[in-house]
Amino acid sequence: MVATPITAYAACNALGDNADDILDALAAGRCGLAPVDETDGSTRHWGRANDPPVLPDAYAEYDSRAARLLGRVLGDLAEPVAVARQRWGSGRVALVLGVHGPDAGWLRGRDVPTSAEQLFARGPQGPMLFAQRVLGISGHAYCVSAEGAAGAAAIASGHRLIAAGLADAVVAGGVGVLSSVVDRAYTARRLLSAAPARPLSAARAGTSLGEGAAVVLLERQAEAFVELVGAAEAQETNAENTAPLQAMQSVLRKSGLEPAAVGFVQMLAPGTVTHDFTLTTAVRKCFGEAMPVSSLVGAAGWVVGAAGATELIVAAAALSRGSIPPTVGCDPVDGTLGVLPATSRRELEYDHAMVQATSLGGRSIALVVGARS
Amino acid sequence: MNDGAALGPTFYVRAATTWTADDGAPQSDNLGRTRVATTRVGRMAAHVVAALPTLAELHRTRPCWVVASAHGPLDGVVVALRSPDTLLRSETVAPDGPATELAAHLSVRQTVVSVAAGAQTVAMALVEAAAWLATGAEDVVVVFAEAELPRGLQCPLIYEPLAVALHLAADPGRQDLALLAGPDPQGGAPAVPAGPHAGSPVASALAIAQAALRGEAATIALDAGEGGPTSWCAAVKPVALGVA
Repeated sequence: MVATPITAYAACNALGDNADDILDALAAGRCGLAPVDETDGSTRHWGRANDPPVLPDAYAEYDSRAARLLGRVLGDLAEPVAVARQRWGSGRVALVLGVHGPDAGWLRGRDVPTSAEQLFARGPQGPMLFAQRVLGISGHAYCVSAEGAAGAAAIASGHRLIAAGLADAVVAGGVGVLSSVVDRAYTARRLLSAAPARPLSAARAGTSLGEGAAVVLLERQAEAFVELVGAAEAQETNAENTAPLQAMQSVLRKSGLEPAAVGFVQMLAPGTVTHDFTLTTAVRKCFGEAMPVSSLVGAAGWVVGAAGATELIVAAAALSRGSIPPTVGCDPVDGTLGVLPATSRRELEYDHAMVQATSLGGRSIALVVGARS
Repeated sequence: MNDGAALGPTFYVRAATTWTADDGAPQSDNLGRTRVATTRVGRMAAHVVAALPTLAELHRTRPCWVVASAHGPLDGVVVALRSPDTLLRSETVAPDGPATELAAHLSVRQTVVSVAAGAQTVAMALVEAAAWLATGAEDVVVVFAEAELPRGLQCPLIYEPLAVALHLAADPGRQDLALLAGPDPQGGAPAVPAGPHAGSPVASALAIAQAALRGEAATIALDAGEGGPTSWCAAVKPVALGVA
């Protein structure tokens, strides 16, 4: 597949309301996680985004916290999407959104939906339907789900749509909101930490949930500083958990890159003992010892739905800024993992970075982003 | 510049299977190492995959899997909201729960993509399949599964549960059932006839499978209601008619 220019990106989460604020906060090592007391007396930390504004009346049927968060980032993307619409035609601009539901507030205390349209508008696909309308695009539009890897999966799907000739531009990314249902699903798996998540640290004891939205605009041809060079996916169902390694090796093959060409891996290390070990083992096997890595989970939480897309934006920005952001909470680093997370900002002199997003359900996506000459 | 939506791709339908409530309980216990399916949608999906006559071939060709369900395990979500103290596994509430379960049932190590697009779920699952086939995948299995709306939701919409599996390929095979062209943005196709599945987001997948299995030519509206700015349809053609 050919490289696809990334002509715009936008994000919001607990670190800020736009991509620049998030990237500045990450570079400064700021933590956006805050304690939340549960009714059962337990404590956990959430990365809660600033409350987004209510949707305008014209879009009231889609109103949900997820749609509001998405609306916030779509505002930053409106102009470049309008240019893409003009360039390619609205029917050639597609939308693929990663979601990790359920954002099911509509099931609680609001009117029961009485039509299929209402049911869809209020369900997990509501934000996608809202985005399609607000951006004025009429190409293919759908949601993909893969827990924390959903945003990366959406970007991989967008890349494929362009490569297959099914679209000329794609708005791709993800959105995820904090909810008690999601919290309980993670609690059931004993994945949450009472303290803020500390990915890649010797003191890590679980993850922290977060929320946010992150989208990129991919175009077949355009001027851009960075491009999506390749994407690959793998699924895991067994204890060896080789999917992350398969995906990373596959994307290098597809991209025609040697491991040495990649300067760092922006990875979705959640801060759990097992998952961080599994993911870093894969990184070590793919790239060798002491590969520089970074994870934003200690700063913004496991931004369900939006995580993979946010990691891509962080990686793209690292190439343009020439520095790898620190991994908040990683000190003291777990030296047995064999990777090199930074406790402070580190210079980057490479043209390629990899994004590694693996869902807790076993789906693994690897993306390579590159600086354009 | 192209002001229209993309023109539809073309697939070969290697096999098709369906499950409706008339077929009895979904049979998913014979599907490999995981013998207990947790969600109803997951059991329905597993049933139609197990019934594919090309299942043995699929273990060799290692296809991409696309699992399409507009609502996913909505019954689990309702339970979770009605019983706040219940700790539920992620698969029982997450939209990709059925895909995760299906992968576990079949010990799938290839890609499994979970797709939902409201009223256009069938069309967009076919688009995702087309993208895989156009970028190197030999074949793709698209599994459509939609359970009835849970009674706890108290929603007046009523349709019966339905699951369909379509084994699609980019290149012709010796025993293809049909050619499937689409999704195509040109409207005008007749709506899915009224019946127990009318209103189901995946009802049009049943119409595709039935036409392919009968060897009939048919043009099928894919949308389940007013879903978006474009209406999609697909054409099923007997292989002899479809070969250019």
